[in-house]
Amino acid sequence: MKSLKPSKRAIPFLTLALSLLIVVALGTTQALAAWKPTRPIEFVIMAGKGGGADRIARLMQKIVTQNKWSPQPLVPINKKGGSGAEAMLYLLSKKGNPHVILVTLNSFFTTPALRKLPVNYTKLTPVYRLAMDTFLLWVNTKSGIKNMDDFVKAVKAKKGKWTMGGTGKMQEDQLVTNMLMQAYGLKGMITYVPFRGGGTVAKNLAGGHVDSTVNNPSEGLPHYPGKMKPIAALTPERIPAFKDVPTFKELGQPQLVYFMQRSINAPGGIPKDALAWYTDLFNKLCNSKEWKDYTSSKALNRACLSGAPLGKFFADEDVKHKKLLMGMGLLKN
Amino acid sequence: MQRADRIVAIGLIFVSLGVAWKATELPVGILPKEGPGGGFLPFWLSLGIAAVALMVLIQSLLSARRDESDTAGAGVFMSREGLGDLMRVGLPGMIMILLIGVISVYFSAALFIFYCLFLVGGHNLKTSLGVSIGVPVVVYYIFEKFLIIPLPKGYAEFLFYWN
Amino acid sequence: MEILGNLFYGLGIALSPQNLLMALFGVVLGVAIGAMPGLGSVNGVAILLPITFAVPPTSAIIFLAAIYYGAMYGGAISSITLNIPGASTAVATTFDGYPLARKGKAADALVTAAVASFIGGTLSIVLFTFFAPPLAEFALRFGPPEEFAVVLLAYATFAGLGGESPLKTIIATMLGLLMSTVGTDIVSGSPRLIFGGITGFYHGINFLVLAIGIYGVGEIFYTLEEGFKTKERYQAKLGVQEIVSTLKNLTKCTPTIARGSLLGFFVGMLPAAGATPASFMSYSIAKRFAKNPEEFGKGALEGVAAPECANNAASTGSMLPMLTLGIPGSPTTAVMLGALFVWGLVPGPRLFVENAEFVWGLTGSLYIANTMAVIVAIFAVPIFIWMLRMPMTILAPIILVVCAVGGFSPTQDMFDVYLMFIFGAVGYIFRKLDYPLAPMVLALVLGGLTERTFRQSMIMSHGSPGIFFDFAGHPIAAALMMVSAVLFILPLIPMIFRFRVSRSGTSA
Repeated sequence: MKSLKPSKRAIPFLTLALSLLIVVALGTTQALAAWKPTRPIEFVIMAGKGGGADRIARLMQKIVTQNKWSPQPLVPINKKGGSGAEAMLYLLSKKGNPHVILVTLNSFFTTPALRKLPVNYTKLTPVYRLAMDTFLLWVNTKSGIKNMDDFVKAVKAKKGKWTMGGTGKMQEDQLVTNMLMQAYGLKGMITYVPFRGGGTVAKNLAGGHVDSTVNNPSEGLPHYPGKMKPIAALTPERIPAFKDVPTFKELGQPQLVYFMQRSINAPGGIPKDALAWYTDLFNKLCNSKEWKDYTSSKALNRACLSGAPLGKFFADEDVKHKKLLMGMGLLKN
Repeated sequence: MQRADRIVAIGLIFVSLGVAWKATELPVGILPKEGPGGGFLPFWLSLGIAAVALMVLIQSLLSARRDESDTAGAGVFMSREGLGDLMRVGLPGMIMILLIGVISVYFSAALFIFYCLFLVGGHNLKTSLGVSIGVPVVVYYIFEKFLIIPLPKGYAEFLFYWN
Repeated sequence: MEILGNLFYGLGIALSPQNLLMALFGVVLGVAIGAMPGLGSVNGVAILLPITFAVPPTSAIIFLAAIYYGAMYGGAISSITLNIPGASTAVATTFDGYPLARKGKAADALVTAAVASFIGGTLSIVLFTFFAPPLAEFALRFGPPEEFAVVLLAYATFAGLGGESPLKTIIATMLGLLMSTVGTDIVSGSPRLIFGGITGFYHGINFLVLAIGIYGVGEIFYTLEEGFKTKERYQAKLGVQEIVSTLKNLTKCTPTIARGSLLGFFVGMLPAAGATPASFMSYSIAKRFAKNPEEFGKGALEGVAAPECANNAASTGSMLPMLTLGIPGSPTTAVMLGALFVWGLVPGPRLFVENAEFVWGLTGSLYIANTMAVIVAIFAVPIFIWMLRMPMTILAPIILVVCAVGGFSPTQDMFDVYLMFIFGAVGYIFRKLDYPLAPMVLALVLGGLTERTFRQSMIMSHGSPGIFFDFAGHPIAAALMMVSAVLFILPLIPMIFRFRVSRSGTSA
């Protein structure tokens, strides 16, 4: 019975010690997992107000705000200069700052390579990929072109005067144009006319000022089916919104696949917990009903990816874009 | 006044020649099948500015000999008191701009407004303090709280975010 | 008849309490944002977009359109009272608005601006309501050569409106054009004139930075030198009688307003630069038609009415291609178009069928927002008059601070604030030496568009400038080019004539 006495006293002590331990343990785990933004998050956009990347960023802002997923507001900031160079250099200067994120286009790969910038994807922290935008080859409905054979014939008939509208030079649209010319032996027969944004490109096709474009579905939709006709898709499978449009793969050109990735990057060297918080945030966003609705109505591929696979995806895309640029003679080894 | 006119014309010639030289980084000629290159407009514009500025300079030199009461030639560029007034607010204004990135736009603005009101304008302490604190507070609420545009805070950033 | 039915349906939607409140809220915010140097309608709409996330799209677009409208009115306020255009659309308003304010007639100018804006806006909405689809077809016919021709027309109408010295006008114009080439070359995608990689130059020289610099900061320097403490601010009176007498005076502006509104609507509708060239063109045309052209620039009411009716008309006009074609007619509608996508709406002919509530609710609300804006703007006049009566020793430092904040917020880059201050000094010196500032600003605003559309046309034609004079292929472009040529030559004729007279005068 004597031996019980200290043990009796030990019970409250042990309980206290244990509870303290638990509190401390809980506290530390909480401290580990509990990074939260403490000031407004700068949401840097590599393009001007009103463009495709800007729209996506503002849609994300809307979804995050409406669902109250972030204790601090997302503040979109447009840094459009130098085809994305300004935005990427800005992120480089914000190394270690977890309150800045960047929404990217494919100029994320092409601009650093072409302009020899001191920054590329390896200097930043990949956070999340949300979608892959698709490309279609479009012509004006008045042209009477029905399929790829008609298209090739029409281009050849114009004897080098065929025009293709697209956004910016040495960017996505021109890469796609070049892929097309190579695949169909049309080198030197298509003149590429650069415009400022995808919407303007589509309008110039609808108005008959250029002969063809490689617009994203969302850009072509306002003029479809009245004024613009899609000929073929640069996707591995048919796009659900354009079920009648064949893919280039079906037409015997399986290498003609091109996507525009929409992903989120943070500056290099941000705390692990911050990365975890953002990953969680964009995971919720990517799986939200709003995002699913948007991607299906605008014929984008919803493509949620994070962590190591995202790193690998970036590395592959980087190699792919360098090869494309080299193929065009714009980049040397 | 005339001297200032000539200095500005000479300055324009030098600056535009410098810009013309920079513009040659891109093709300044007419490309086959494409029209003017990327450097065409800036290059020829700067050369144009240099040429016209030279004409202004020559005109000014000629008119000096002919007519002293020419509109551009008359009067002094800046009076002594005018310059004093300008410097007393202009220089601190410049310092205010430079301090924005260091001590935040709010503190920088408060200091500058207080300086202008109390030391230069001769307003009483109550008005000076009221305006110099009131304006930054109003700007803070409009920009940070309502419009959610974070303004530069420099090293004072920690003061604005407690957690 | 069907349109009238739709219109009443739309007015019904717009008059629901929630939408009415959104419109009022938007107009008040818009006037405030427009009056603040730096935040024009583009930034206002972009910044306040998150507020609309909580309401249905129809209410949201009503709110954004009301901001757009309000900002057009508000921009005139800072142009008139402080000589700082809040947005590029209000630059032309400074030409006569500020001289009027200095004469003690700020209230007249503000009321004129509000009423002219109202008339311009309303006429434009009526056109919008009844002719949207056919006009959209017309706008679609504008490709790069046609757009270039319109821009050239804007320059042409503006020729001959420079300062005293033609040489200095040429320099100022070329400087503005040169500044517009800084940043990224749109055609080749290469960085251009970034002076060894200065990041602040990558996004180009923002119009607002130049305008706030040379007008806002430069104006403060100018006032400081005239005597900081002794400076008497202009006496501004405002009462019921002043408003009534201004309204009576306005009748003589009627032809100006009518011309300006029509012009504004059509230029705004074209997918080019929107309201800014419209306001400049309207001003120049008003001056040409005026019985008293010598008063322009010194404080003519027509000089305030002309750009204001045009920029409001253009803001409605620019919504037409946005809804019908999915292309923005102005930078602000580009942001609104982005909002449409965020709400999951696809612009285009189908929008009018599938989302009739949205389209006609917006149309209806434009009538209401416009009426509200004129009332809000007139009620705001006394506040600004009170502000004008403040001593310069208080007003000047506050304006400098507001300019700094305004220069920073659009791009969130301190570099722009430094640049703005430098422009302030340059603007001050240029003004003293009779270099005209307006051509420089106009050239910067239109420069990018001019170069881009010209080079796009040249690529389209494989290097042949004949594309601009091809009556068969591009009849609109060719016709506009002819009009521009005539307008360029016209002011030269009296100049030659005057030269002869003055020659004979001195020899006699």
